Amino acid sequence: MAEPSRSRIARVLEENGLTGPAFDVAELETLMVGWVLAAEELDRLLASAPPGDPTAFLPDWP
Amino acid sequence: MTAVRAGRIAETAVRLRDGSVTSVGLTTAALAGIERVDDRLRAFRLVDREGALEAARQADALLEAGKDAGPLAGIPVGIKDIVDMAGLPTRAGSPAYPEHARTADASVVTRLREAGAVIVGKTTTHELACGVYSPPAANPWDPDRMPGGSSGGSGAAVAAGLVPMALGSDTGGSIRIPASVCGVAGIKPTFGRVSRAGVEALAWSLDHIGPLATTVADCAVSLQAIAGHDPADPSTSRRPVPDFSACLARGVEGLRLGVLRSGSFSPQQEGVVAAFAEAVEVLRSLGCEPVEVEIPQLDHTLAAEFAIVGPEAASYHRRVLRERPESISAEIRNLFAIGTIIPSSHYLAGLRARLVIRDALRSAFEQHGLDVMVTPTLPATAALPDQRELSFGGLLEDVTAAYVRTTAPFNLSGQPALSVPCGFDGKGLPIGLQIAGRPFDEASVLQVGAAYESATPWVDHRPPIHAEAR
Repeated sequence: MAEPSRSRIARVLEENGLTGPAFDVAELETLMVGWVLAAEELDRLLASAPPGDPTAFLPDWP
Repeated sequence: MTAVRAGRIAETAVRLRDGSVTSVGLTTAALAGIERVDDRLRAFRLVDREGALEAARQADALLEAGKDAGPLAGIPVGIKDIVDMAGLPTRAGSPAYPEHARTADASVVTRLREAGAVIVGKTTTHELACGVYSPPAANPWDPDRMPGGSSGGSGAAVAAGLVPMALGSDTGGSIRIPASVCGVAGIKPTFGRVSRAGVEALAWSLDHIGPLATTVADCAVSLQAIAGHDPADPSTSRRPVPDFSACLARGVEGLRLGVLRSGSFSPQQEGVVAAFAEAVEVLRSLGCEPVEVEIPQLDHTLAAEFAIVGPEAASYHRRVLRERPESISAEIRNLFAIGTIIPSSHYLAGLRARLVIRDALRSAFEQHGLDVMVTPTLPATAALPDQRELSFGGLLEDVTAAYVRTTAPFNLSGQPALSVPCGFDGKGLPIGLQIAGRPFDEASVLQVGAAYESATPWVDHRPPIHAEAR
């Protein structure tokens, strides 16, 4: 996940109807830094993960 | 067989049936206790005095007639305020939810009523079940501290002795966190064991419902009442539900115990390290075989957990987020906004990471032949309501991240996990021991918890406010 620019954050928020002063784009841009790092962390974890349908979670063990 | 401590519910059930107490008497006492102390604890957001007394009268009539009134007959309980009760509002700790009454009971409420429980009210939750502080509720052991969350009102109500059991929900630790910091037992069952129909969601694929209670035996009888397939919730399993209470006294000799204390379970506060080490030794003395295990994949718990919670919560609350965003507090609103902004590939990465973590836990159980796994429930005791960071030997960590890193692995894997009290820190604050089992093996988890509880004095320790409430 690439670090989104402030303009991209504003655009995605608007596309989803999230407008107005309740949404502080600058603050969200700052917070997104941590999410980008988390995405990189997951990419590293998944680099050697077996393929599989991630939507098919069941708690059972075979 | 092992002698295990009787639960408060079981003891009360005997007294209700021999006529030495009545449900109306118990319920009146619970309501009076709430009146005496809840202005300080704020464990209940809503008290249903008339509904509770009417249910108590009905329970007494059945008991007096010698009819089978159910395993929880006449027992006063609390319900987290994200669970619907017909005729009462569900506010989920948020002004975003209207004050109008819900029209139907959640399936778990129906089951509790069928089991004879008397619901005295709805307990305080952290806003939208999305946080670990649960304001304005307070911790019974130190009212200047938070009771954990998001089921903080349920933990506080049980610890103060207002009710012997209260329902909670758990998406990343929200049953076990308040259980740990309030010094009570609490079990998150296997994903799919308990219906979520009629319960406000936080993250559909991670949400679980379960009881917080005075003792492990009380957790067992309460879980029994609510477990099992529900046509109204397709995610519930059709697996048969064993008799949890009957499993409690099976004994633990020869059980293999995976011990997790490194990786994402480190660092921990000194008091937690010592209490956990002592708990492992107690279990060893009972005949368990501890085996140290390391699961490096658990280091990615927080990244996976939030990659799932953000988008799912944003989707669930999208209408409020769009139409009344100011009704959601800034921290949670930002989480939901980011859940909307991040690409679907990140959500799917979270779901894939969840499978990696589940498989790593399964491998550890299989490779070491484990029956259960034990960890500290949390790396720290109760924080202050306005405290945002915990210090681990000078290393600062966000409170929510610190609490969730030890509990959320079992939300991701869907395994059952119980927290039982295992001591106190230097400030007199409770510490929890987490016991996790194989999927749908709540019985072993409760069995080990009951054996540990019976061998230690912790369940007899009560906060000072407990005496005032009675």
